[in-house]
Amino acid sequence: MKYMKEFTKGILKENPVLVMLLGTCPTLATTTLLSSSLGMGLATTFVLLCSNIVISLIKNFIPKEVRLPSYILVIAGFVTFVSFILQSYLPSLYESLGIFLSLIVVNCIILGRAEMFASKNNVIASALDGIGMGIGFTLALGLIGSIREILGCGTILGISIGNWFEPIIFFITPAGGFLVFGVLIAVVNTILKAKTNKKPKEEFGCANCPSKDVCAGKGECK
Amino acid sequence: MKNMKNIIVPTIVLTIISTIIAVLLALTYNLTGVGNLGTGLTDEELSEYANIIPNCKKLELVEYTSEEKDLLGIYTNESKENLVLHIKTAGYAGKSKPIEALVGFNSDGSITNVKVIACPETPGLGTKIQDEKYLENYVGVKETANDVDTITSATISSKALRSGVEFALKQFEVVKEAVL
Repeated sequence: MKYMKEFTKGILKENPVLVMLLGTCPTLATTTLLSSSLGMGLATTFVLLCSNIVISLIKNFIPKEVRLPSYILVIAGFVTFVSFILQSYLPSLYESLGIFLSLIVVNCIILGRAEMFASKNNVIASALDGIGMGIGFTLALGLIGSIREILGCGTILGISIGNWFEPIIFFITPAGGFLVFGVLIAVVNTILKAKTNKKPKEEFGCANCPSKDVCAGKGECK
Repeated sequence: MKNMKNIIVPTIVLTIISTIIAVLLALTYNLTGVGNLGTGLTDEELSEYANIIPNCKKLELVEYTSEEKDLLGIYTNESKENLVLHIKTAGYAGKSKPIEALVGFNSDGSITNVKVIACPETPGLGTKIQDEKYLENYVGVKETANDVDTITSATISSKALRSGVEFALKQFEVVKEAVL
């Protein structure tokens, strides 16, 4: 259970897209429809999980001079693996992701987690961190994708929501993507702020006071 | 000596990692059969798209070599009265990769139907050209496709498809003598 925090932090508190603002390029480009956003999210999650595990396993053998090239090699290997699989079994998803599938190699989320987390932690923690971050990325993409698809196409996963709704093409265009992205960041920021404010303020005890030595901990300055 | 260690060890490690990954990827490449994905239609697709021309249960490939790169294949039905041209739109418009379409013809050169079989356009915008209702606009078109309307919000993709169909109409005139 001690690793639970590594898993959950990626979903909201350190969400890679909406809080850390990493991977903005694939976020805006592949979220026109829900199906392609989920495809992109799951492909990235898979690469993130595998590369985190492998990098965490081999971290002790890699000399620090060639640290980044080695990480990139491992990541590129997994990305190529995913693109082979998609190309032969899910060609329509492969087509709709296009160049952004190969660009997972240089996705800052994956390289960032490899450099910041997997190269310093053990395998279990790295794997959980990878899954958590991946789920956070997929959820963020799915959310943006569904908002854009519903408003811009009047469909959800290709199923029409009814003729009463006139689709607003603006939301499918890149400008609409930026708008939805910005609004979601604002919403997540508000939620996170509300969450931190709810916590009872920690007692600022004498033990933490920088002037403790001066007053010898009498505790009358409250 | 210390310098040598700083240079040689990283080089060896990096080489080993690259080799392992390359070998594993080569295995995946062979197992998934990505290299064998040719331009032709698979058996399933031949049956799936058969309704593009009348009286057809399964499309049959016609042996014909064309110098046109954008003409990927020619198919026909059992009675050999109709033709289907498999085209791609590279060099006309489209975006990252060419759109691929099947264009079915009657023996008099009018279009029976159009089917988009590969559409790597922006999901939600360019992919609207796959809509069957829109493609019905091509049914019965003869000689030139320039009068067919484009779709709002998918202008570039529908123009690309239209020029592809235009190309198919021209190619039909070229190949019909040899094939029909």
